[in-house]
Amino acid sequence: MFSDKMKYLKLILCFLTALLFLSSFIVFGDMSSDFSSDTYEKRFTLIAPLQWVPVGQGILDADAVFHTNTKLIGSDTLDPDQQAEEINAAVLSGVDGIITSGTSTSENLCEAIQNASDHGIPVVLIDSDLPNSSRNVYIGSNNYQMGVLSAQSMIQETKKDLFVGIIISDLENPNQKQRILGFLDEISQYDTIQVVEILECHSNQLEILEKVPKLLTEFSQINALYLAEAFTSVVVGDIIKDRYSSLDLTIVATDDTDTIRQHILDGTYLSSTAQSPYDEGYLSVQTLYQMTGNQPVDEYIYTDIFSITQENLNHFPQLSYEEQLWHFY
Amino acid sequence: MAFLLKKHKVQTIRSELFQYLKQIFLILFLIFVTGTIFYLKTVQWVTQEKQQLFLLNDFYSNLNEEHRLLYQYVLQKNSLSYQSLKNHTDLLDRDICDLYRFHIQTAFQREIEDLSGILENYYLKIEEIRIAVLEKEETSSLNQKFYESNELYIRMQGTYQNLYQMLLQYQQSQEEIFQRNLIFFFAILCLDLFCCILYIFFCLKNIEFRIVKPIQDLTSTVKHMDLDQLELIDVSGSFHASNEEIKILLSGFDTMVKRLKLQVEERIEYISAQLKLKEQELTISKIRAQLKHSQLKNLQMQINPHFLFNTLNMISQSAYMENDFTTLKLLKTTASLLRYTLDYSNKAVTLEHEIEMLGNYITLQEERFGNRIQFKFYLDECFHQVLIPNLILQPLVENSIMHGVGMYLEGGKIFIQTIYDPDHHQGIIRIADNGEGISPEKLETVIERMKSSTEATGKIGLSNVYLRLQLFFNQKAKIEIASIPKEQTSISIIIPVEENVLCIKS
Repeated sequence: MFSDKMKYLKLILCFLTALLFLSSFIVFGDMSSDFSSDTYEKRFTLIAPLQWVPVGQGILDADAVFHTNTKLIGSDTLDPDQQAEEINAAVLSGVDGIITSGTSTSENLCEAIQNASDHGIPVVLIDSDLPNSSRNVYIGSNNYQMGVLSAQSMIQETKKDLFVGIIISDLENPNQKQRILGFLDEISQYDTIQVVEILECHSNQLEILEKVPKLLTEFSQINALYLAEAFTSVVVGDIIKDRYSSLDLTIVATDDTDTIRQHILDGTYLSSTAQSPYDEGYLSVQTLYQMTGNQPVDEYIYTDIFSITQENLNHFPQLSYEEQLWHFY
Repeated sequence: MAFLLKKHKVQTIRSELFQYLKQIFLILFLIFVTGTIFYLKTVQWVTQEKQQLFLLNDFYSNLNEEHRLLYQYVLQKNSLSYQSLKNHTDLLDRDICDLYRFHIQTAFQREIEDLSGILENYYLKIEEIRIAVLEKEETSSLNQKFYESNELYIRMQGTYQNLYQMLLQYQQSQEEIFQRNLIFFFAILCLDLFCCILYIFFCLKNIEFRIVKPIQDLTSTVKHMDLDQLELIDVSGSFHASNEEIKILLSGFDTMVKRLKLQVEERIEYISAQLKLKEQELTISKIRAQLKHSQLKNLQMQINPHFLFNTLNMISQSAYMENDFTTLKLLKTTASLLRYTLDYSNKAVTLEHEIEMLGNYITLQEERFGNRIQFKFYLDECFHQVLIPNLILQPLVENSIMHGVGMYLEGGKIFIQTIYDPDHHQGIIRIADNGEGISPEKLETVIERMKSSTEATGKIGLSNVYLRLQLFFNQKAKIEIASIPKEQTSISIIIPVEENVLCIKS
């Protein structure tokens, strides 16, 4: 009678005591820092927009592979002067390499890149290139080919005559320039498609809200839109759905986000030409690692581009991202 | 822990108590050790957190001091102020080295490395300023260099703030985790202590159940033990005892009680045997007394039969002379009967001989009663060679005539039957008559008197036959009397027959 109860009680007691004993270690074990005992060999710094989470993920994965550490510094606004200042700060910190984007042809930015170069610190530009700067490598998609792919996607999917309105962020932006150039070159081979207007919106939502309806009103013959930039691609879809759902518009967007995918799913967009920012992040760390190890690297490294449509949407699953520590500037 | 779960085979009271004590002590010791470890680790952790903050603040104050000394050097441009600056640099280097050992977050480590990189540039700038001072460069050039060093100083301040913020955030998150874990730890501790108390309670209950209660029960049993009810005592079966020593105690007590019970029984048996023996001796002495009395009587009677014998011979000669052959036959039969009585008095005779003598007696009775009584023999002669006391049948036939059919004017019948029972190796001699019979009450009195009458009454009757048979066959012979009033009465003598006396004829 008692012996049975005592047997179970003894087992419980042993378990609890063992748990208690372990918990005295677990309590503090749980509090151990996330400090990695694997010391990293190189220190890199990424200076980029905060939205570049896929890039950050690629960098984190590459850091784990190449035993490097990349500090992620980001900002909401793409101010080239601040960007330059951060590059200079990274140079002062004595980092082994800098990853940034040539979002602007600002003189300060070029000088900062030059400063890094002077200190022997390699600079890799991703997404947007500044060919005239002292950067060592450009990693990104071939923007000209993105334009070509967008045009092909638009032409192949429709049988009617197309009057295209192009909406971009910055006419001076070399990437967007290249995309438009590729787009124009491709459609020049067809008589059934012509560009009516190119609209510049500076990645500003208010400006987009104001200018896009105006464009569609002024150029009523427009029955196709080429959204050559990511932010514009996210915003324009909602405007079309809210106000111009009756129009038979053929829209080709750029980039791969949840919103853009939703626009493709509900038929607002025909397709979206996307690149792989994850690859850009990963390859940038890999390239810097190779450069600091005095291995030869290509000056231009192009990442894959692809066209997302309703049919192949599921073939491009969205990545899940780890928690990333971004420093603001 | 393995010790707690180990099974203990030998369970003496001492080992059992010691086992409980050891288990409880071990658990409490483990709880104490755990608590101590927890306390020491908490103290260590709190101290470490404080040290980290102190060290970071120390670095910051040294950085400020370093920059102040640099400014002082730029103003004074003397070697003394430079020496002070240089000496202070060592403090900064030491602080950076200490900060490197924080190891709290990879991001924190990276920030320190960046800080270290900026500090290197700062030192370079100090060196540039020193060279400018030595080369006595223009003040504007010196100011420019100081301005550049100031930029580095400001950036280091920014990095320090980042570090400070990261450290605070880290410590805050650690404190949150610590609070959560502390609750968890104390919850388990309380549960563990509760279980420990419960276990102690069960240990005490177990001791009471396994050790104290059996002893109490045993004491109570001993207190109320009754010699008449020893067979009811079974302590090892009735009381639960898991402890080996208690088991031994109970089983020892049981053995002792069994022995006691056995001794009491033996004693009772001995006493009853003694009583029985005395009774038997008394009976035998009575029988012997009666026998002696009979012998005496026989001796007395031997005088008269000789006289009677001579008289009978004289009468028979007279009858012969007068050709009275009936009287002659009666006299011869009587003489032969009398001779048998005299010759075999107190001697064993064969059943055959006894029946032959009975035949003489019946001849006399036939002469006496004529056709009023018929005598019939049904004999199984296979056991007729068995020895029996003499004159045991004649009294019974005489009883049948006197009390049974003697009063009949006709139709009286007496049966003399011998039967051998091979199953029980017994011989049965039955004398039956169709006389008046005996009422059940009287029959019971007769049987009782037959069995209880051990005194010599001087009569050669049923009691005499019974006593002689008992004496001769050593209590193995029986007499059974059955009667149906107004119909019949039968007396059966049952005697043991050994196989060696059996013969084939029947």
